[in-house]
Amino acid sequence: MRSYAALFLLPALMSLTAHADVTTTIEPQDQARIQAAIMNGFNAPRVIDIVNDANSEQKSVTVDLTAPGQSIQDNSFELTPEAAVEVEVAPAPASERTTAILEEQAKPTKPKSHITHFGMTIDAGVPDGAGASIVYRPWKWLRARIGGNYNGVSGGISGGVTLLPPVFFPILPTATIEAGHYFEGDANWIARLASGKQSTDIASLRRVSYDYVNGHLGLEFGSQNRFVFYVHGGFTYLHTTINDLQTTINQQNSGGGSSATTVTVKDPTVNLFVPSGKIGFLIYFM
Amino acid sequence: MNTKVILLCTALLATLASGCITAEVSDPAICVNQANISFPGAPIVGLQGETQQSFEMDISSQLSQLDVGGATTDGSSVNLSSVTLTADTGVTNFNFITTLKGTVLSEANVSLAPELVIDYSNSTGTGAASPLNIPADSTINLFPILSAGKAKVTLDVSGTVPNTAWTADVTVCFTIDLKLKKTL
Repeated sequence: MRSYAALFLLPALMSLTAHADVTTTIEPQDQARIQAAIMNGFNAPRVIDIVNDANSEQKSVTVDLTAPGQSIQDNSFELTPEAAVEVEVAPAPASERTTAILEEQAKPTKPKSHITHFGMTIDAGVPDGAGASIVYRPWKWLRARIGGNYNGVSGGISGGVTLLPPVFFPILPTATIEAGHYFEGDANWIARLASGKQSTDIASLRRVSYDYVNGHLGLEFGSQNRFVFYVHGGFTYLHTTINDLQTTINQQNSGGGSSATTVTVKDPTVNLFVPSGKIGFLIYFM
Repeated sequence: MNTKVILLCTALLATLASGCITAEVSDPAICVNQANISFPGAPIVGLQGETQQSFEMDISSQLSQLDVGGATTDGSSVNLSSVTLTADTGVTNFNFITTLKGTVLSEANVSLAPELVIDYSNSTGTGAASPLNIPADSTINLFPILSAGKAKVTLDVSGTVPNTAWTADVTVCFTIDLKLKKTL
């Protein structure tokens, strides 16, 4: 083994060692050519980058120019730039500051929770209708949403929270509480559809609105950081007021009711407790 | 894990399948006004007498909007909240009334006992201007009678009854709390 380290003058903080694992006789006239070949190896851009980086960080560098398969035949020593492939960067002598930094870096750190916090969901169900919501997930186990709905009669707003196990798994159970409000809308088109009469116009259906609260259990399928398909089911408490019932009763009685008997009513309230469900999907994007 | 998923799915389906619809309809005031109810006069002026008049009332048919077939109505209630007499012809006030009793009887189901819902008395002969608001027993649940179909309301009036026939409008107001339950 012959070492050529002495052939080069290197920066003070950088030491290079070049050697070839082949025993041969090098004639004096070949030394200059070999030196040039080795210099060519050191001038390879990738080596220069590594050495520069090491210099900037005050680290020492050892360059091993031994390359597998490298051979010297007939005193013709050819060392290609690819020979300089093994570069070792040793840490600089630790000062107090660098020691502190290294100790800080050596402290065990908690693995970062890679969860996406924002997303959007589109769903459809009863009595929610169809809806689209913005989703915010502060933690793996809690998800909140707020959005808009449409039930074929009018628009509404809704929001809710979902609890789920704090793990990422392709199938997860969920528990959801939601509340919503539908603004007033004319539902007579449903009555016309049901009766088959285009003339149907029930006063109490002209201003239909309701509030509701859902309590659902569900299952979610998919990646909790990307795309989730879900099925929720449970019960809904719904509250509404039947508007203009007096007008409706007058309409019903106008066809032949007794003129001596009249009925006056105040608009009644209706509270419903009914099964409900929804399906939808959720996309996380931030 | 598969077992847990199956159990969850089963629980979810069972929750939905065992569901039922319950509805509660509350109306603070439904009033039925019966106009021009005629009461016969007493033959002798100035003597105490009694007269009786009755009329039919059918809330179940008139409020058919609230009728939900096939649902149970356990827990529902209809309570009388007020009765108002308004003088129409023959009288200008009701100072002549000493007692007035009102009874509601089911014509559709005779097995239901009649309910005495009005028990008014005024021996002073004053303070009964028209319209006269008569206190009613609001604790009696009239739902069984009224939901059965036609009900007969009988008013028994005693006092110094006018010697000629007189008419009055009778307005009966109820509070209604309907509880409907329908199993899916």
